[in-house]
Amino acid sequence: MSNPGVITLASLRNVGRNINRLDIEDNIGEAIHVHLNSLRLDFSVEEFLGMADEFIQAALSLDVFQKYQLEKLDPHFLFEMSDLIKDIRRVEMKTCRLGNLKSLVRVRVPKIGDVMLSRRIKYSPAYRFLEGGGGSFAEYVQHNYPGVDNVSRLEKLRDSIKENGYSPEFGYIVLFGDQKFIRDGQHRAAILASLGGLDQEIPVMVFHFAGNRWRLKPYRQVAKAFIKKAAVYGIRQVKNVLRSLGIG
Amino acid sequence: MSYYERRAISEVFEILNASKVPYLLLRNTGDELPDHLGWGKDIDILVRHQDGIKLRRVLLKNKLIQVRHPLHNDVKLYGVHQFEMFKTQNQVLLDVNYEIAVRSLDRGQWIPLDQVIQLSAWEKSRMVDIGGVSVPVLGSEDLWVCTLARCVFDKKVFSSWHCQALAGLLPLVDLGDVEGKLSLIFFKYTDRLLDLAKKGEYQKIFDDYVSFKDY
Repeated sequence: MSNPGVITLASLRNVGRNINRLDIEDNIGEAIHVHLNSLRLDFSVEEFLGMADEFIQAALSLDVFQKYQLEKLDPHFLFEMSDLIKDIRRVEMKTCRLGNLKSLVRVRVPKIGDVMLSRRIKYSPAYRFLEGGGGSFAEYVQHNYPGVDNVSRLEKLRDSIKENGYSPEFGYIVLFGDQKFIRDGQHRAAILASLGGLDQEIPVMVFHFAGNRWRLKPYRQVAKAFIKKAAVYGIRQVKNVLRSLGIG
Repeated sequence: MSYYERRAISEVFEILNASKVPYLLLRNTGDELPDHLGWGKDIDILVRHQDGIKLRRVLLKNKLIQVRHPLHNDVKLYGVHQFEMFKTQNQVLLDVNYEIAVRSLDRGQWIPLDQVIQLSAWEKSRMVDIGGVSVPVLGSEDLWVCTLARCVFDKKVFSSWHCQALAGLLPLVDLGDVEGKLSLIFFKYTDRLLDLAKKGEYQKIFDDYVSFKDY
């Protein structure tokens, strides 16, 4: 029988050419299982964290992030962008106007489902919440910090920034290439905007990549989802008509 | 809050007893049976899967109707059979389980407890009186283990009633037996779990368990 106290730490399919399945599970009290295709590796917590450190050292030795400290980047963000890491060509610091940056917000579109849309900072749920506009921020489903509610997380970060300022200690806001979408640090951006206004110039970290896989096209995603939904609906209608005609 | 009448509850157990299909009452939370089972709540029983067809025949013959189980779409793993639900003419709901199962922590999938616990449930069952009807229930050790597992995995919280029930039962159980069964669910966390239970610190168990790292 399986351990019911299992928490999936990561689950990936079709990674590169050779990995069909990569699942990492924490079986509380028992072991951490790494499932690599049909092979299972068992680790104690200490062994697993030791292996993770080795991977970090390997990444550092590759100098992928150049002189910038890997450990200052949010691990969830690193996981989300892991497929792009090998395409990084240059990392630089720039300044830009806070009000020009855009958040990526998950929006539920009726009959289509969840899509990511871009919003200027002043229209982002976090900023509106901080400005007393209420809104959906408290209910916004965030996946990266289970057990921590959005409001507590935001308020704790705001208190930290008030005390310590926006400093490299807590990580920079990250952009990719020439796009103004905030890839990491949306809450930090909302807090800075709330505290100091949208016109302030702030330092951001910009990753430059080879190729175009990094480029986001949020409205294309919405259009694709809509077309798919319409196609499914259309096919269903055609099938209903055929059925009523006694065909198929 | 409205409750089912005692007579309606007794009738369910009379039908089950008359069927000669072996069954066990899985829980009696808050001692709600026979007089305080809230309208819309169900009676949870355990039946062996090989007796499922016979049970269904008997229940339908006694004018119960089969209704769609509210957890019909939940994912069941490692051989957990589909739950089934029946409704009496008095609208009492009977929830039929074929394994003692709990929800996995992150994906809420139903996973059966170890086979040792499944077998023990039948071997160590005992009879209690519910509304004047003799009803087979889990033995004390299995009841303690299953109640605790349910609080951790299904509920993710220990209600005051559950804390009282567990605390009240703990002095009466064979701790060696309980420890052996807990280790099949909680593995290296078992010692710490028992330690918290003996101190009556049930409310600490869930958070302590999910942050446990000594394995």
